Amino acid sequence: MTKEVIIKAKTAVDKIVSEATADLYLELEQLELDILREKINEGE
Amino acid sequence: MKESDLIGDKLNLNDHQFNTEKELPVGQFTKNESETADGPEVLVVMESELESIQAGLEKKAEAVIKLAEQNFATNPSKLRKLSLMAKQIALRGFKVTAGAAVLFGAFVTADNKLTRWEVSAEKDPQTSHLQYKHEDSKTTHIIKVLSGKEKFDEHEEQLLIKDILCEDHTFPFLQQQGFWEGSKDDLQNASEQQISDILKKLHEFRQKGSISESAETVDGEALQENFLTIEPGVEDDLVYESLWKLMEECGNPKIRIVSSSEYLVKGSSGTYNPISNTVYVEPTGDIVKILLAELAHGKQFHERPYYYSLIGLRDFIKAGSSPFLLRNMDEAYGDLYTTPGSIEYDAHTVKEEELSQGFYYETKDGPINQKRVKEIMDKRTAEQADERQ
Repeated sequence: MTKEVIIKAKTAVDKIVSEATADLYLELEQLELDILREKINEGE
Repeated sequence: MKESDLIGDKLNLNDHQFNTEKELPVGQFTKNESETADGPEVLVVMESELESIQAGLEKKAEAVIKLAEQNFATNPSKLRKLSLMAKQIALRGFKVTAGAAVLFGAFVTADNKLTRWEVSAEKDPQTSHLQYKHEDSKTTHIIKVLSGKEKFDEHEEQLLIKDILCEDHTFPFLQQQGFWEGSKDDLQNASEQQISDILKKLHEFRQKGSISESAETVDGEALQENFLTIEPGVEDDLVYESLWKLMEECGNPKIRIVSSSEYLVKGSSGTYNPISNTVYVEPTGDIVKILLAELAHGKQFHERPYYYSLIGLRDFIKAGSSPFLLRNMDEAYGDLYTTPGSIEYDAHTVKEEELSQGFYYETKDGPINQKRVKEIMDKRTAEQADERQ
């Protein structure tokens, strides 16, 4: 196996991971916003 | 992202030119330590990146949980629900990163032309016995040691003993008893005489009956004289032939005798690394037995590399998700040994059993195994005598 093949495989896996984890970050941020929004609503 | 994306759609093999036949015409590469280091080096980088991504997600999830605690302290059911949601998102992150790690590992492993080592055999003109030669000379040497044909030289023994003394469960004991006052690095650079003194003190400690859990595995004299469980001078052609036969059946992995936790999983006496096709064995206890156990993994990856890479992926994710369910990961992984269909059950209950039965049957008349049988019988007799008392 050449180094290039390994690097290509890593690049492909990196792409999958970065897309998936970006989605998960967004979900966590959304949850954070929901908490704050709910608290504000409670206050009102 | 669905879990199936990890294995299917998004990783389009053709797009990324993963056709290894095209990349790797047979015979165009040679295998040696430096060239094969490429795969493991990238894996180390990848491991660190994935760990950092997962740590980032967990940190973010913790921040969300903290925010929820600050705002909903008086509403436990709401707080529980929000915490669970944050944990579940982090858990999905773990599945992604763990899956990516094993997927990449599976890719490198499954194309294990990289790690299929050659073994040649030549007839010894004097004895007319076959002499086997692994591409990796250390492996050739270790098989000879295990079958009594060669011995570890003093330098090799010293290195192994130093590694054992530096283990996490042993080193603090040496310091606590005042057997060694320097650091681990100092111990690695200690002279033969200094090591010999430590072993003597350890032996005396055991002789006094001062056995504690931390010292249980370390008897200086036993370590020095018998730690490889090989009787010096006992040469066993049956063991030699059978080991090489097993090696071939299991993909001729490299063998390394190691004590360092860098290679061995916590609490285990042996490990198999499918990426480098290497069996790591701890130099305590019955090395051949540990070797047989780990060769079973070699057999799995030799026969069906893709299948076992995927089974390993599934099991790893299953065990890895346990910490989020408040279970210890080691304990969860340990369950795999008794779970039919798992990679560990298949290796140690099915394949190891087959390999062991074959090996011990073939070598039963050899001098090493006769000695083992005698030792086992003597031990049993002594235990029975103790019980009677």
